[in-house]
Amino acid sequence: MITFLKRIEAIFTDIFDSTGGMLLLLMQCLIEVKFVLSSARRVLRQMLEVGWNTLPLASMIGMFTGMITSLQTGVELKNLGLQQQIGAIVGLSLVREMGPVFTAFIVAARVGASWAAEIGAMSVSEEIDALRSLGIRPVRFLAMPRFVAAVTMQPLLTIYSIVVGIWGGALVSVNYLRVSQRVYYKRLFDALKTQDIILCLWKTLVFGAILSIVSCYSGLTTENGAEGVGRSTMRSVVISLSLFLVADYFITRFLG
Amino acid sequence: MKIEVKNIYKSFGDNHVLKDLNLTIPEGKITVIVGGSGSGKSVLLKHLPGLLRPDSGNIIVDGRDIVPLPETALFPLRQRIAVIFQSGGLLSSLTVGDNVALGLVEHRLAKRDKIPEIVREKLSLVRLEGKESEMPGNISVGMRKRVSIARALTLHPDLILYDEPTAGLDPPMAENIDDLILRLSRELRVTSVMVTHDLTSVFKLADTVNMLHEGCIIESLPPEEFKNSKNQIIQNFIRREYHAAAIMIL
Repeated sequence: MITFLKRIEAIFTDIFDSTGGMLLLLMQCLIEVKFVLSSARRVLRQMLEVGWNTLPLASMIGMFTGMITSLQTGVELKNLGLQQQIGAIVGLSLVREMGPVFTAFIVAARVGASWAAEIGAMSVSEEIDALRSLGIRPVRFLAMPRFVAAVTMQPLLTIYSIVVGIWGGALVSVNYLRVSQRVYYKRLFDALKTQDIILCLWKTLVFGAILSIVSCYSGLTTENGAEGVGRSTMRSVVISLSLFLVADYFITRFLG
Repeated sequence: MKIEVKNIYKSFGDNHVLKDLNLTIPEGKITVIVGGSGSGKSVLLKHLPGLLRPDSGNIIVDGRDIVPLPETALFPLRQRIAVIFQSGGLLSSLTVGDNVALGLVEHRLAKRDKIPEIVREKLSLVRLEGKESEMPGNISVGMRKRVSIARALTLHPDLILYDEPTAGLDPPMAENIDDLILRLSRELRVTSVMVTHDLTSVFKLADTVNMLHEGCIIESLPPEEFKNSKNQIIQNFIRREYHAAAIMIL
């Protein structure tokens, strides 16, 4: 019983420690943002990593998400004679939820994990200590460029993914549900409000901040060699994905 | 740069690594710290530039106690201190040239067009001419340590800390590193602190040898006195290290 309680204590201590550590890292990144121009090369490199290098995966996921949404809902709508509404349903689903959330999942799995592993490996091989010993702030050198890259590229990548998804949905609508492109896009733009787009962008900004802070924090606090790097990588993805859904709920609840 | 370590304690959980440790590092000399594996030599070394903080005690650097200083206040000090880590401490994502130039670029200590020339000069000091475009993963451990020294020299440090500089190196390479350390100390008049259990390096380089045992410095002697010390712990250490070295040769 005591062992069980000690285990619970350790879990909650870890949660509070990590939460405090990540909030501190977020504040430090925001302070260091004023040095973004002097770190331009590093920032650009990370922006390429988040944006350009994720495009192929975002294209595939976006397109198939749109196609599956169109297919699943379209069949049911057709049974009710309402298939003309498919454009609105696909568009609103992608813009309000699936676009921001699925794109964040992709970036967390692809880029966030890689950041946690890279920084974690640096941590265990004394490269972070080397930076500190040279008088170079690890947050400015490693975390801030990734934070800026994620917060700027996540919205752009999400918009791209949504556009591809909408096009994928149109493909299925036209060829399978026999809904014309004109009707599909008219219903979509009739239903989509400015508020939906603003909400989508807020989510992408928050998700970008979450994935960069969580992955950098996991990397910077890595210990115990290769095993520790593996654990940090896994933690980074699990925590990011969980926080995306929590943040998604609260943003939708209070800003939606 | 003169450093005084006073009454420092450091524990990691239940592991009490440093216990009431006192140490004086005189300016311009080579101070060597020896001890068995796991005795806390690297932990002690990392305290000097403030990479680790003691649980209690003081570390006086040029008359100023650095223990209570926040991390941000230590960055200017660290630009005067160079650390040569056991693994080299090179950033694996940067080339040798970019690693050497790292401090110059980040602190804007030289114009961009002058940096390649400075890098070439520092690499030639450590006999690694032409290696600018190599990646750290593709060069030997000995070369990585020399690149690390070249990087340190770009910032004209007042103090260089060496963490097991000859560990894992063959005798000729170890001798190269020893010669380099000696040359830097004498020619550049840099204060040097070296932690090692390589007795050949100890007796070749040290102005003072400090024995770290069970968390504190038990003796601080010139090399010849250290070798002839009647302290049984020191004699056991010397005998063990010579025995280990003999086994390696056989």
